[in-house]
Amino acid sequence: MNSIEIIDGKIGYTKNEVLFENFNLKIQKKEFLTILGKTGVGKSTILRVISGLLALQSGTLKVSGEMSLCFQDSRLFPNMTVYENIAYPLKVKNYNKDEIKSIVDSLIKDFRLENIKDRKPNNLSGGETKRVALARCIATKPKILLLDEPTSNLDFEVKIEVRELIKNIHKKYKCTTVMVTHDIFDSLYLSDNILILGDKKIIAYISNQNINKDKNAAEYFKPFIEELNILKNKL
Amino acid sequence: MKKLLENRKVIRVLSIIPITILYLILFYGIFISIVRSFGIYEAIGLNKFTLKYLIDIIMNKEVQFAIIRTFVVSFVEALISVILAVLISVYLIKNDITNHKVLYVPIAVPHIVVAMMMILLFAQNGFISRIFYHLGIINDSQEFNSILNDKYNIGVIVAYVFKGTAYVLSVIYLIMKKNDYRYFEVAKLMNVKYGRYVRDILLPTSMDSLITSFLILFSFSFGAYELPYMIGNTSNKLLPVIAYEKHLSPNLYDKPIFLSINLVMIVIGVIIIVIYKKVLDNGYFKKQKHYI
Amino acid sequence: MVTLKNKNIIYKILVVLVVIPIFAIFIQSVILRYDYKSILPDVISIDNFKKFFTANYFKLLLSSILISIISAIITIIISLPIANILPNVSMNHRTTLYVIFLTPILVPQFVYFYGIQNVFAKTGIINTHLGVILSHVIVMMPYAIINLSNDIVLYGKKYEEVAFVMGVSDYKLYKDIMLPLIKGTLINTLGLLFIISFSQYFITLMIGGGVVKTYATYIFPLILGNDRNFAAKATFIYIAINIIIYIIFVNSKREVTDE
Repeated sequence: MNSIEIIDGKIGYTKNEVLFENFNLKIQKKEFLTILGKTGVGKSTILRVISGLLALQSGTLKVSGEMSLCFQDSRLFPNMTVYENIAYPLKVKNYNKDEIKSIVDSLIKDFRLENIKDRKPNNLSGGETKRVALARCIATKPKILLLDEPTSNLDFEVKIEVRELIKNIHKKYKCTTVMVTHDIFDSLYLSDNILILGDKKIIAYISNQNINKDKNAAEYFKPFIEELNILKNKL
Repeated sequence: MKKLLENRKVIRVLSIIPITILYLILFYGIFISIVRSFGIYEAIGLNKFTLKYLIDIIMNKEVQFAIIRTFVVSFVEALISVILAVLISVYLIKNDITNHKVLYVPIAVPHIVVAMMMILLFAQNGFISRIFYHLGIINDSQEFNSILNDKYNIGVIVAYVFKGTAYVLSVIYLIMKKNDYRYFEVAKLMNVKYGRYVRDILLPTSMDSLITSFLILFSFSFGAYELPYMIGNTSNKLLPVIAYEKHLSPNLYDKPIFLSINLVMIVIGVIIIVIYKKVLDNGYFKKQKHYI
Repeated sequence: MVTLKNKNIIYKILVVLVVIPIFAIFIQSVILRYDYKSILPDVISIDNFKKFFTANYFKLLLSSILISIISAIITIIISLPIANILPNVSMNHRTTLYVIFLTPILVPQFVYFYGIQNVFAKTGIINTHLGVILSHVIVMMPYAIINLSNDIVLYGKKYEEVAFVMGVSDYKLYKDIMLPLIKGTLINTLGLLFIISFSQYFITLMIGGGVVKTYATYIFPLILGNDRNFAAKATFIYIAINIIIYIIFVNSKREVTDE
């Protein structure tokens, strides 16, 4: 059963700058897919297409279920507190007061935001901001979760923490998750499948287990593996 | 000596001297203004602190009414300007009309020229009156209810709004656009209706600038002489007009009224400064990169 | 159904609302006689403009423009150093400093004009060109500081530190790096300040005392007078200058970088 499907898509911001043509992608329900690729190749663009923010120039997009996108720069509403930010998507969907309170309270507990729940976003650290953004994203229990570079610009420790959070979210809410990242460890640790994007093409689409079996994927990962070996020898 | 001049810090300090002097002159001027209003007027021999002028305001009915009149006119024009600017700004953003620079032209029009425009359009023998006559709405120029020099100073308000809206628009459009760029997509993905988005997110994030723009417009119109003199009510004048007349008057008894009005202006100025500072302190000022 | 034409109709209405009053002045400046009961004007003449341009008129116009140019330039020169220092001031003090700088805009003009009139009278610069120029500068300082510091805050500290480490003097830092970056804003601000100064009536009257005449003080009694056509001619030129400056200077492309 497919959760997200792009059929023969032509993807680009303008008629002249087409990033992908004849793009085909099928994502299963509850699958965790990571999109890897060099900067500028169009990873975030795919997320925008799936979420509907960017229309396909041609082709078909099929999406089943409610979606939520967590932006790279978090974009918390500055005029609302942490609590109000998380509650907002619920408020918009007309959940009643008690429901909102119970959902938001439990999220605050899960994401360890008790100390900051009444603060405004401009007083939060990078890690705190990210956690609030994730909480806000998951508040309406979307069937599809889109994450745009969730661990970029974070301290190493905070990165690990956010990584765990994402893993737990995926396990608990069983949502189809599509994550864009350029962090190899994130993708290897978290995802079922990996989509590697290259210049105007898909380099590989393989499951986590089968990286070595795919020639292109193995080629893509080679420099990282080499670096890992160097590090391993040094440490 | 040369070594001293090469020192970065020294040059910096020296370079801000001219502007500091001017600000000192400004504040000394305000100081004198305050001091005079409390009775200390060396040149004519008064040197005792007195609250006489303050009491005069409370006693003098003419001045009281003028204060209320001026307050209402300034408040209304500033409010309308801000509201219109918000509506226009949201409209421009929603419909993605980025090239609207012509709407800022009123900023380049001096106030006395706006008065002239009002006279040309709204006088009893002005353009609008003529159009009404030819459309059969009125039978004679005398029938035209001009908003110039009218009882409620509507003409003055319209004139101020003409310029004020353009000014506020120039300030908040950029800010709103910047905020919209960030938050509209978030709201769209949450399925927030546009009106709700404006109310819950776009407007509150621009509120600081709206308030400061309001204060600036209010302060200006409260103390400005030109427009109300030219097209304002002549029997029930606004504060700056009365003040200026009393100031120029050779009648000695007019001086105290002038100083009383001056006191009112000072109080308004202080209130505005306090509110403005509060907005800056509580707002996004500290994290913002742009000051307005 | 929202067609393209409907979509922008509100915008078109707004443009018309802005343009009509200006157009009205132009129309009045060429109409010499216009009976109330006629639909079309009786006498239209553009020739009359020529009679308008006497030598005295040009003298006044040019001296007025000169006063505004000088005031604008002085304002920018003295405001730049402050705009530079502002990013270095700690956040806690910045709001207070900012309020102090904005005093001329926040406090009703009347209050400080009265006081400044006294100070200038005592120091003898009242009723002089210098006095008028200084008074204009005082009014314009806040605008210059806001505009310039908005831009400088974006780059200032960054490049200052680079220059310091490189051993580059302040002067060179300015000439080679800062000025080109803020060139757009400088031109913008220059235009804005010119318009503000050129539009000042009340303060020119108070400080200039009728001795120093600017275009604004010349036009004021005309507008209130009986000869509408003459007033409209003078006003039209007044507006035209301001709008031209606005188009050239204030609308020029500004470099805005987002960090």
